[in-house]
Amino acid sequence: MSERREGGLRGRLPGRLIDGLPGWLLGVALVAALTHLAAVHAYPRLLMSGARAAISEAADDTGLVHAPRPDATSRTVVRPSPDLVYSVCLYDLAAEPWSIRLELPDSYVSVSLYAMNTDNFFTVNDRQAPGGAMELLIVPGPADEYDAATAGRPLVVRSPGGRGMALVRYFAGSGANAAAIEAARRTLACGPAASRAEMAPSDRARRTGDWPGEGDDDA
Amino acid sequence: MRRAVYSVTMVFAGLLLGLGSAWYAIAGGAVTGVAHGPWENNPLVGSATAGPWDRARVAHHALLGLTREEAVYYVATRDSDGRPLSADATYRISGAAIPARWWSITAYGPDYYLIPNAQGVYSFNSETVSRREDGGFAFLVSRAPREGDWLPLGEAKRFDLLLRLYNPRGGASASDLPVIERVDGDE
Repeated sequence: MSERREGGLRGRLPGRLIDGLPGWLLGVALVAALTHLAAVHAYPRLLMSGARAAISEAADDTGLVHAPRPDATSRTVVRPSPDLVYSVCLYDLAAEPWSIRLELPDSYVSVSLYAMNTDNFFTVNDRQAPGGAMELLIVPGPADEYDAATAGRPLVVRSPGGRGMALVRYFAGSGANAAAIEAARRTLACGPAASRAEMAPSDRARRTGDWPGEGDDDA
Repeated sequence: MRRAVYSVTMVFAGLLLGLGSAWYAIAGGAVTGVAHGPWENNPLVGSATAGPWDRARVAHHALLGLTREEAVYYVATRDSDGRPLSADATYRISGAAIPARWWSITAYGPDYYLIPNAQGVYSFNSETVSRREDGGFAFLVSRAPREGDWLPLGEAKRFDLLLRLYNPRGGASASDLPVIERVDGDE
């Protein structure tokens, strides 16, 4: 300690700043500030990556999963609503646009798109969709390069990133329309747009088990 | 050797302080917002313009929330008299028609998940709540079983309430939102 103090007293101004306890504290503060900023920036993406990984464990090969109505065992995402029935479609635009299609029940349903930085960059609900069905085409580039949405054609949405997720919420209401909601969920189809013609309704490979970490099976 | 100790301890201390302060900024303390009676709304939930600290806090407390046009969220940690909610007490939540396409009020534990209870009831919504002739409603929240519309708290030691308004009509003022009244448990 005394060696360092002597060096500090004797050194030039830059040396005095670097050597000894004040320099150490400054270094700690600098590392702390950079670490703090990096952690705060990374945290939302970490959470989304974690949610995406948990969902993709349960998803079928088109990235689709139908979660059961939330209860006290539902612990994948905080504050699940027990009044909603959720389905999730993970999308990845690396190769081509992604298509999501669903028929609408007589009650509230919405499709909301999330980027990996947690931004909810687009939402549409049943009252905003013409006809009894909803079809979205998620594209990586400027949306106007694709055909504009008209009746019977998909609603084209630009994704700010290559990957994201579509969260479909059905309002469970009194529970009396549970069968109608399940029938509507079976019509939910998503996947790369080029293979849309081959896409069958979602129940061909549907997982109805709980998301990983909840319930007993890991379907 | 001395220089190595100097550098390693500096980096290690910096990392600890940086990560600790980041965690405190993100998870420490409640997300404050605009109060409407006992109901607090954080205007940053679902906002794309949130700065990095707000974005991290919202991600921690409300991941996958919706933008304000689709849903508005209010959290209550106090009753309408300003007293912190207590899982030892009984509350009556009452109100008139709320201006939204549909709404729900859900109880959550301190870990932000639904509270286990034998009845498997976690919320009331605009279709499950019993209505008076004037369209108003009331239900009780408590651990102890109650008659009528009752939201059980299981074995919870602490809880909060989340009010969701989907497709809200106009800006809600405190008078549009339910009253949270403590009806027993007063010492």
